[in-house]
Amino acid sequence: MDFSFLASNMRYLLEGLSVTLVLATLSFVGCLAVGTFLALLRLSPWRCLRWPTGLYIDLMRMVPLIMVIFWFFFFLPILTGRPINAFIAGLAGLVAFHSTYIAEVIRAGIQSVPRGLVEAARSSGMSYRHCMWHVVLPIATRNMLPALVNRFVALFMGTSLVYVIGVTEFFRAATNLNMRAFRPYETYIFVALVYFAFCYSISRVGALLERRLTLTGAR
Amino acid sequence: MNYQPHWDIIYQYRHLLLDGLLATVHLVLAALPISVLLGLFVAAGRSFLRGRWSMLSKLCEAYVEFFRNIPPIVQFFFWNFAVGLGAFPAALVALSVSSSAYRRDHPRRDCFDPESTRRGRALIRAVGVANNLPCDPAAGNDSRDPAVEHRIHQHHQELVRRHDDRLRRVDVPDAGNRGALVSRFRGGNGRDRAVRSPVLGGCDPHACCRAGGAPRHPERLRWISASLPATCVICSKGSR
Repeated sequence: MDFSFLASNMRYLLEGLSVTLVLATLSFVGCLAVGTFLALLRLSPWRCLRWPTGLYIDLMRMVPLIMVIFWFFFFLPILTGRPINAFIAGLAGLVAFHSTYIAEVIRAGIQSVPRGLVEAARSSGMSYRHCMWHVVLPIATRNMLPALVNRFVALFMGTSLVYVIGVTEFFRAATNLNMRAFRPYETYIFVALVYFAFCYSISRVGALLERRLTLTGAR
Repeated sequence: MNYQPHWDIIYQYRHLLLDGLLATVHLVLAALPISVLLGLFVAAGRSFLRGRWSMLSKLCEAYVEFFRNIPPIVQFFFWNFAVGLGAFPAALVALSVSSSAYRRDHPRRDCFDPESTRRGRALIRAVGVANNLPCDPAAGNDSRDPAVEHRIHQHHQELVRRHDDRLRRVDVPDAGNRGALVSRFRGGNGRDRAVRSPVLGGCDPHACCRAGGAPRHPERLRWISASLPATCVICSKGSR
């Protein structure tokens, strides 16, 4: 076991790690936006909006992420007629895939707000907007934060799949390093430890949030 | 978009694709029982060994947390390239190990509900394993060990403290009370629901009586008192 080659190539690995972090953060923000939109569509009173959204969400949840990434990488250039940056394709694939899961989390969060509460707020003279903003959303956010953090962990791990289309994120950086140094034991143990450190600390934050934010009596 | 799709290649390479599909099915069929068994052992170790062999229980916990927080692809690469198992065995091992460590996303933990806690304690007493589990001091528990008594007491205090904490953090208390009133207006067992299903924690059916007092949220209280009936539905005094 000789980890010195990792130390001497730390700069390269850190660059890869920064790409992973940027990719995870950007796609999570994108997922939140798209996911909220999908959730609202899924909860809309009109069937013509609800039904296609449900179909899209279920379709996306039934295919593997790596296929979605490949699909975006090869399909977007055909659609737009110009070559596409692998990073953008990976980002689009991650957003398209994970926003469906996040949409379900958000939908569950909104639906977890007891109906009596909404009725109480509405009958107390609050408008729909007021009711959403002051009553439903604070409670829904509280309820869905732990699940959202879990989704972020899954998303973080999912970024490692983007390596198949040639984005030099952390996993690909380590793989490249391994190809040159040919020290698979050290490389992959190190990669596993780094991913573990990040994902475990994020999920600890999630557990903490869950303990802190759980509301009583919302049944 | 001027792209000519050639769907015929799928037919042309059908044997290749079918082989891949078969490999997938083989992998799933092989990995499923292994991961279920492994997962069962680890889960049992995590929950049943907690008291006696806490070291083993912690080991199981560490196993789950470790393999859950590493991307599967890193595991595939590790078993294939580092350990050198070869493609199919590596995939099998990685898949079995990583899915055995997988558990459902944190189930929503039920917060302190006096009713269900009481029922749970009654059950625990009935089963007769009350010795190192918290049970109700008021109802008389089975343990005579002062250390256990102390732990029960602490646990109870903690539950009460957490409960109070949540009540203090309530945001829109008056809307909650209004919820109880709404269900009362609708008939049904309004009294029961008002007391037993505290929306947003703690519900004071006489809150409307106190509307004239010192409101904590003057703006919201004004909304609510404006839409209240002239008399309180509970004590039938004037509410405004």
